[in-house]
Parts: sequence; structure tokens; C-alpha cells
Amino acid sequence: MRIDLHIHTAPRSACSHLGLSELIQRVKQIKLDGICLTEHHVVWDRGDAAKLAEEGEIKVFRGNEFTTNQGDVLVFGFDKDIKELLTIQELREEVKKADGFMIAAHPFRGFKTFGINQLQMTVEQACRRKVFDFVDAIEIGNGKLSDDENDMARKVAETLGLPGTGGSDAHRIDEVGKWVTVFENDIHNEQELLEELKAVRFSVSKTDTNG
Amino acid sequence: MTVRFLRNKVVEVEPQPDGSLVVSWRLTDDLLKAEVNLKVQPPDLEIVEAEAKLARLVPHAWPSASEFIKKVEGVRIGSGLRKIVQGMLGGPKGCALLAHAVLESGNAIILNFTRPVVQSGEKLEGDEMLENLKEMVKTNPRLLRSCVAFQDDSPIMQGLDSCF
Amino acid sequence: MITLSRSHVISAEFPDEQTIRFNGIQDDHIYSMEITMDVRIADGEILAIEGIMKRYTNFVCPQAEPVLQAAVGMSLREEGWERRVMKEIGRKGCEHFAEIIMECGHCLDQARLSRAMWESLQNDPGLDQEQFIQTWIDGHPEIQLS
Repeated sequence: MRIDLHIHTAPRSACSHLGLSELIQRVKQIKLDGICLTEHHVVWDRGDAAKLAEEGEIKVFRGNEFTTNQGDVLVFGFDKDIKELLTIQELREEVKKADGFMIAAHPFRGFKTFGINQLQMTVEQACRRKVFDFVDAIEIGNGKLSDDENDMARKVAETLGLPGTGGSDAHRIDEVGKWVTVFENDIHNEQELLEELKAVRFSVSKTDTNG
Repeated sequence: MTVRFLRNKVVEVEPQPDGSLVVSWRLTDDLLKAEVNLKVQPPDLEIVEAEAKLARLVPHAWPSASEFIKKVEGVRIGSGLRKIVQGMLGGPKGCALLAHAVLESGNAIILNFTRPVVQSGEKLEGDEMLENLKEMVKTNPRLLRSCVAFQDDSPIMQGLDSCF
Repeated sequence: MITLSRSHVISAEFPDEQTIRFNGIQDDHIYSMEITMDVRIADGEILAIEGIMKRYTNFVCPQAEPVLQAAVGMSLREEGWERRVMKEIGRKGCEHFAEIIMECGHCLDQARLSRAMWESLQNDPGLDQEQFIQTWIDGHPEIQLS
């Protein structure tokens, strides 16, 4: 089951240009089995997400992308509406109480004209980032990152023994589904999504979405 | 016409023998005098030391700069920096000036690494120059639609997929 | 040695009682550009803007100059104005132009305060300047000093 675990829509994410109707069309066009809406510090209302799923005839799950002092983190199974900046420790405590799941999002995203290669970062150095002490998984396939940056995330995940997820981080229509998480089992609701994430019954896949 | 207000700001990056980078940010205008100094450690670009001083006519509501700036120690110059710094130093109880100073210092670090990239391509002309720019977009996906030069209808983008 | 240096110079004049005119310059090892813009004091709306690129990185960059006109009508006081400037001018045009506009915006209230203090000092050279600032801030709830 192919799910894009990392999508931003407008207007809930101010930086997104992705409308809901075009998102649904695109999901069907590229034959995704489901999507996760992970707005910045905004949790979708359960009813709104269910309505979107019903109208679009697609599977819609809810997550959230929090900015912490140690970078962005995707959170699942945690509905609390927190607007302010949390430390990674604070977020971990909150999510732990809710029995949720945390993924370090695009941990090695670089800049416009240079990235980790120019900074000559080694895997060993990369593994020392504090954020990895507080998450359940690492996003090793992100559509906004270069292959080198995703590759570094994958190596770090392997070294630290953390599972790796994939998501497009789409803010525009042509970005949807570029990276997906492929689950072994069918997932029907958010509880099952959480269970499959925790059981690490998934892999990642990069998709050619241009065709 | 004489001006009624003048602000001068300068930010500088100076690599150190131990491999760290020192960023020195200075502001002077009719009302304020401010300085922020950050020590940044590659390759993670972590802010390992932060100092700040505000002087001249500082609004009473602003927090003590020398203590307040310490909040950014441990923060990495990278993805999400704007939101992180605004969250730590901005807001009604914060100090927008210090938040801007840290962001501009972070930007200077980024420009410091960008400068050799730009310099390496500036002797190229014609098709070679265009190919170099296209290659840069391919290897740096965040350039896509980041400014007028990398919009879909830009000559640089002709022949490139809109989504790599 | 210094490997990267960037300077900003922002000046403000008051061509009439309703308007503030900014001139902003950004100059660094890579880029050099300048903006002049008129802003209505009452609501922070950008009334007119012009910009020139003097040093830039590729041949398409100067196409950002006409994009600046999208800033006319934006208010430097509305919620989220910096994000709007970066989105409409920065991403569709040039982020360095956007940075200059934002720096001018940060100086809007500082410039008003500076002018008010100058005028008060003409009448009272012994003015308690710190007290003056506090009183002025308290009397202008709309301001954002930075």
C-alpha cells in the first residue's frame, strides 16, 4: 500500500500552493493508495479529513509537522494543537504521553546552492545530531532533497538502527507522490497506520511522477 | 532633502584556525547601537557561542540581550531556522532586533558557502554558462521556483523537467 | 580574513506629512542592489517602488525589477507582511529585493520615532530621551520596533 506520508495543502500550510481538488485528482492519476496531510503546526479536524476522503474517494490520514529547536519533526497519533516552538525534548514528552510516532523530517536538507557535500559531513558526524535521540524514525526519502541528502539520511538511519520513511513534502501538485512509504498491509484508519509504523512493516520508494 | 533616519548594518564572516566560523553583526542608527557575535561550528553549522549587546536608546520592554541571545546556542543554521529563531527570540516578549540579527548572521554563513559556487561559474559564457546553471538546478532542487531565474518560464529552465 | 561581508544602508525622509520615503541599499561580495519606495505612514501601504540591480548572479536576475511593482498596495503593518513580501517579491522576483523591502519595513517606526525625537529636542535640548521613547511607544500601539 503506497502512502505519501508528507503533504502540505493550502491554505492550512501558508507556504503551500496545493489545493484539495487538484490533490485528489493527482493522487488518483498517479495511483497512490493514500495520503497523510502534515501541515505545519496544524492538525486537520477529524471530520474535515473524513469528508475529504469520502468526497475524493481516497484514503486520507492526518499528521502534523512541528518545528522544534532541533529541526522539523513529523508526528502521527498526536492531535494536540500546539502553535509555539517546542524543544525536541518537550515534543517527545507530549507525543510519548499520546502514544504517538515521531519522524525526523528531511534531516539533511541543505541550502539553495550547497548542501552536506560541500560541508564535508561524515555519517559519523551526522549521527550525532540530538534530534535522532528523540525520534522513532527518520525520513530517508523526501521530495525536496537531493539524492545525496536523502542518501545521508538513509545511512544515518541504518547506522542508528532507526526505520526510514518516505514522503514527498509536496507543496505543489507536481511534487505529490515523489517519495512514498510502501506498507505491507492494508491500512484503513489512523490507528492502523500508527500500528504499522510502530511495527516497522514498511519500506520506501521513489516514484517517477512526471509521466 | 535631509534624511530623518539612517541605519547602517554590516555582517561579516571570518573563518578561524580551528575550523569554526565567527559571524560579527553590527547595527548603528539614530536610536540604536547593537552587536551580535556568533561562533558557528561546521559541518553541522551549530551555533556554539552567542553574544549580544544593545546600546544607545533601548526600549525598556526588550529583554537583556546578553542573556536572551544564549537561547540560540545549540541551534543549527539550516532547515527551519526562521521559524526556530522567531519562536525563541521573537514574539511580544522577545526582541525582534535580535531575531533579525541571528537570521541575518545565518544568512551570511549561507552566502559565505555560496560565494565559491558563484565564483566557479562566473567565467563561463554562452551555452557553457547556461548548461552550468541547468546543472546547478538539477543538483540543487530547492533552487526550483526560488526566484525569477528559476521559474518554469525562465530560459534557464527550458528543457528541464519541472519536477526532478 | 573576512570571506563574506554584507552591508545594508537604509535612509528615510519625509516628503510630506503622510509619506515616508525609504532608500535601501544591499551590498555584499555577491549581490548589489538598491530600492527606493514611498510608504503611507498611516497604514504602512507601499505607494510606489523602484529598484535597480547592480550586481547579480545570472542573466535572468534583472527580470526581477518589474516584479517589484507587485509590492505596491502591500502594507508593512498587516499580519504576515514579511512572508507576503518574500513570497510575492522574493520567490517570484528576487529575495535580495525582498530583504531590502523588509529592512525598510523594520525601519518604519524607528524613523517616525527618530523624527519625533529630533523635533522635540529642538524645543527641549535637555529632553529625557529614554523617557521620550517610552512615552512615544506607549502612545503608538500600532508600532513594531526592530
